[in-house]
Amino acid sequence: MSRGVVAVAVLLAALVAAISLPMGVRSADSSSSSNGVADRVAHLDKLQARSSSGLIKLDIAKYTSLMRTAPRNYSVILMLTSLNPRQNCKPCSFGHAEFEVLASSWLQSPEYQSGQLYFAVAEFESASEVFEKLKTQSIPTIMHFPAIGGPKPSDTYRMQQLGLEAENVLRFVAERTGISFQIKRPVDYMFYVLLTLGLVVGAAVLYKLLPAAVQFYRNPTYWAFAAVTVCFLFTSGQMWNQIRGPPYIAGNPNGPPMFFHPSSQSQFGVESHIVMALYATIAGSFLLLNISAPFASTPILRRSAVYTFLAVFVFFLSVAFSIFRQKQRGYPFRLFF
Amino acid sequence: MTVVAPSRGAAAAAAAHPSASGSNGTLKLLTFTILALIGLLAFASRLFAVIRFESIIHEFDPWFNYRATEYMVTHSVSEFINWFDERAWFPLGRIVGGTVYPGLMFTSGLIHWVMNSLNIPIHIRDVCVFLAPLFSALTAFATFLLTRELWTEGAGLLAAAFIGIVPGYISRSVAGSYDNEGIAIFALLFTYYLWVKAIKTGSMMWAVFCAVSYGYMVAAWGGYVFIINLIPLHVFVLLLMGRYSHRIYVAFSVFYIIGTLLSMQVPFVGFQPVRTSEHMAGLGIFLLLQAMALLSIVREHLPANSARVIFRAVFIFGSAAVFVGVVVLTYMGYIAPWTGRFYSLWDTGYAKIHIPIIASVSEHQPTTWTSFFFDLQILVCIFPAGLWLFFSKPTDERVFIVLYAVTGVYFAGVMVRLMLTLTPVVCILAAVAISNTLDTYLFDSGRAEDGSTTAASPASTSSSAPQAKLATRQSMVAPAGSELTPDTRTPTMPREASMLVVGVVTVLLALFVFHCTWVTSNAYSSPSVVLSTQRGDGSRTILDDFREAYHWLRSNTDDDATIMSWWDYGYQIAGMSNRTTLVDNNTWNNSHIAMVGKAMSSTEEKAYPIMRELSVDYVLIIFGGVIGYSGDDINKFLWMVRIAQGEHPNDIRESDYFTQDGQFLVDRNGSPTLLNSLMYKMCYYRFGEFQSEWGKPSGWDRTRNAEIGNKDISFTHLEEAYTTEHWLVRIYRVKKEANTRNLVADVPPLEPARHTDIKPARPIRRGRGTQGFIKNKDKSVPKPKPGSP
Repeated sequence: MSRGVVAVAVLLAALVAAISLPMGVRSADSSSSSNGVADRVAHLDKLQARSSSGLIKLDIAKYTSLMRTAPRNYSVILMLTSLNPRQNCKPCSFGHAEFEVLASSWLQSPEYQSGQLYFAVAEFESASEVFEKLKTQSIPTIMHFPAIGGPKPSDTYRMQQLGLEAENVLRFVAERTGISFQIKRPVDYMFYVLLTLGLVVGAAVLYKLLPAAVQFYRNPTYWAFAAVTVCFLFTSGQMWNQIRGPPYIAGNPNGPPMFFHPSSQSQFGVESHIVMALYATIAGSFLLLNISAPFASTPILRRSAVYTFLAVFVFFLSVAFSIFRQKQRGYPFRLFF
Repeated sequence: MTVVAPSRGAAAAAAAHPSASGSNGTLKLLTFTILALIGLLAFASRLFAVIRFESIIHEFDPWFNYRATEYMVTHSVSEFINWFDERAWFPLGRIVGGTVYPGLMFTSGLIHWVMNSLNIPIHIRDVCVFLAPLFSALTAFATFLLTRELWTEGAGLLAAAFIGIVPGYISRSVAGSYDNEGIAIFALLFTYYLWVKAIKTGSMMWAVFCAVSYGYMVAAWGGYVFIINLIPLHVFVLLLMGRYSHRIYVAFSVFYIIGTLLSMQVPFVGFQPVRTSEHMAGLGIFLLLQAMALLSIVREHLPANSARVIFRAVFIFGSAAVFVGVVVLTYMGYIAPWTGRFYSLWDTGYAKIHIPIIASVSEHQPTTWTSFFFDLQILVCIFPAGLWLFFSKPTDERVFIVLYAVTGVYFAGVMVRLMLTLTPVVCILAAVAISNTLDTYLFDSGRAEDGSTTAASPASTSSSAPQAKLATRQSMVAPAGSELTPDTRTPTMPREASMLVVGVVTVLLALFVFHCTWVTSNAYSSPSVVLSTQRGDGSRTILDDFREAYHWLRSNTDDDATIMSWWDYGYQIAGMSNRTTLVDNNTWNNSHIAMVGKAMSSTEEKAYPIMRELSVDYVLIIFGGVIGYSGDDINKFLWMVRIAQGEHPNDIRESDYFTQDGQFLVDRNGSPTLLNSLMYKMCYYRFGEFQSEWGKPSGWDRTRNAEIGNKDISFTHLEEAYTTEHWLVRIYRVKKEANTRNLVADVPPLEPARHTDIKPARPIRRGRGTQGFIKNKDKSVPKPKPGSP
């Protein structure tokens, strides 16, 4: 559907809504049979209008009156979370931002006129009773409250598996309610402004430092450094970390923290950093054997350089072997230890 | 002086080396012998599977390739090109000629034809089984040629030895692994060699050869896209470096025109080279190069200063114009955008969200560092040193290998499968680093006294190939990294230090040989059609359940019976049972696969109409609960659900198959939807009465270590037709719809044929903890599941 049609539809709908009811209750809802439902919808709409994203802030009273009282003709997607900095919950703030995107996309979507869906947030500080009622153990939690009856086990969003991105939550919403709409992320003007600014400044600096930049550009050593770094990055499994997002390090209740994942099919963030450093040392010492040691000025220097580089090379290669042996069960080979 | 092949720099070599004073002929003979030995070694080390099992086609995709080849040999080439396979993707069928890369079939067909013309009777199956080892020997030669062009002949020999035995390449080219990659890596490296040759000489002849080799690569493997992007990238970088020359112009223009025309002759590729984004880099660079060529003519008539400015301006605006043109054409729909498969290489999260069928294949997963180490061992630690050496004096062709390394390592990091394209360049770079070291230290001590090889000779005989090269290295000239004459370049090195360095390198090379042999033997030589386990006393047991089941199908079902199974087994059923399948490893039709997934994950009542609709006669499933085989259908089940959900979100919901706390359990706590799904019931039918392990209750699933949750399973529309010896494959017959309701009830159920001579008293050991044995479950490397072509 083209954007123009959407805009016109939204405008028309808004007009109709403004004319038909003074309180801004949507025309679709005004036909509700029960009086209680109409009141609740009106209340919800009022609450919704309070925030720009259309997220409804819940406390226990609103929770009971709006979400636990029958009859209802609307579904509610509830996020249980805490934005208190003391909780230090990173997924909470990320999830909340994504949830806001979801709610505001819903407000802007053409389906908003026909569907009955609300997005609500219960914060632990202001609505701890809700948490008790729902026996929520972990935050953030996203739940779906259907129009009829209470939430079933499958109405809880599997955050661990699916992540908190608005697109994934939307799929859950569509699955549970049958309502789907387009995610509209707000345009991040700041980003573009900063990008332009950065580009301009970068260009200016480059222009100013053109001779130095050309020097850099012409110098193969820098390029060699960059190429070799890329190799270390990928051979140490950084891309795996990027895609899988493993924990950086694993705590161990009785002992030092685990640096290496016991399975060969997985790894920790710190693990690939260690491996990267190892590889860099091994390759570096081997390289120095080639490009540095033979060219030392005196025989003494030459001899000691060879011994040093060789020792470093062999030692760290053995370390790499022993780490690999730890992870790969039944690997029979080793070097020194 | 980038290449100091003895044939050319013979005088310099002779002057620098007393040891090289032997004639050129000796050196050539030695080189040739070593190469021949490397070829032999590469061939021989891929034969584990043939020796241990038999001469058999492996895995999944190779079965299709074999079937297609057989069809081509028994019919004719033109019939093969026009083949419409009505036994696959029932009821849709598959146009085989237009959906395969036929290079593989042509190659083995040609070999078969030549052999038979020479009155050497050989079965086409044996040609297919031994094709990959044969081509890996050729790959070793191509690597030698390429490395010789880039560095020295000695490094070339070392690189050839590496590529001959490195596990990263063996993993896709053991005997019986009759797949596109087996021949494609040879084509890839040979194309690169010819490209380097063309760029160095600027000769049209080499460029034409390069294009022809590229044409072969296109016919062989979809990975040709790597070439048609890397070579333009190389040219572009050369232009950026201000290295434009007529050599580049001739080489690329000739290569691009002839190569594109040749690639369009492959029916599967067709007009893609001018219509899709994957190929636009080549076209763009081609246009840019024409502009640059025109300009270089104009420049001769202009003052030098303004010419340079114009040159730069044309370069910058030309690239921008080409880029914008491609973008606009893409927007207007003349150029197809990047396909999902390629797009997922850049946006790594893309496939997981949008194309579950790609994400479901384990070889499309990102690569852990252990995988790199497992496949490349010491090479992965050393090759950055070689890469660094290549920067010491950049020439046109060295820029190429650097670009190859950087792009290759990126792709290998994103996808385990693309380790294959990285492996050759790692071998080359590591060979250069090691060769340079040996040159530095051996050469030096060699001058002091010509007996330094004695330091290396006591090493094991198993590493004969690298060993032999140590001897030749004596006569190699110093690397071309420096323009200095060898005499002033290397001052004398303390002799014992040199010997130590050489000794350490020799030990490492020997270790590498051991590692490669061990990995090949343990991880990469299983045909996966035949499984083997190890008993407590160390003896090997062969589990031949797959072929047992396929043979049963072949001999006990109607010729036109339709078999439903998950797509992984489609090619094998078609190849070994010669029966019609619904879906197979070609995975071109997602909604068809989703249909099968839906039938498998629904209840029997809901699945029956689907199966009737697709006129399914038999259902085949893989069940590993008895022997502890982890690659079975229950473990793949979530992917079936996921793919079915993608197409039928109202009927199938992934969340229904999890317990409340989000676990996937088959025991009593498992979700009821799972416990009543058709797949679950087919897997565990009558399993509840079966004791699989001592000291455990009956119905103990040894793969998932759980007692099953639904032991009381009965069917109304299906009946058990056959179960193999170790229960690995179970086949069910789909009953026809009854004429009247009562008839069904009156007919006594057929007694299922089943081997029950398995003795739970002596359960088959899973081989855990036994050293040196990797069982399917404990695979260190993600075992390649059936790949998509």
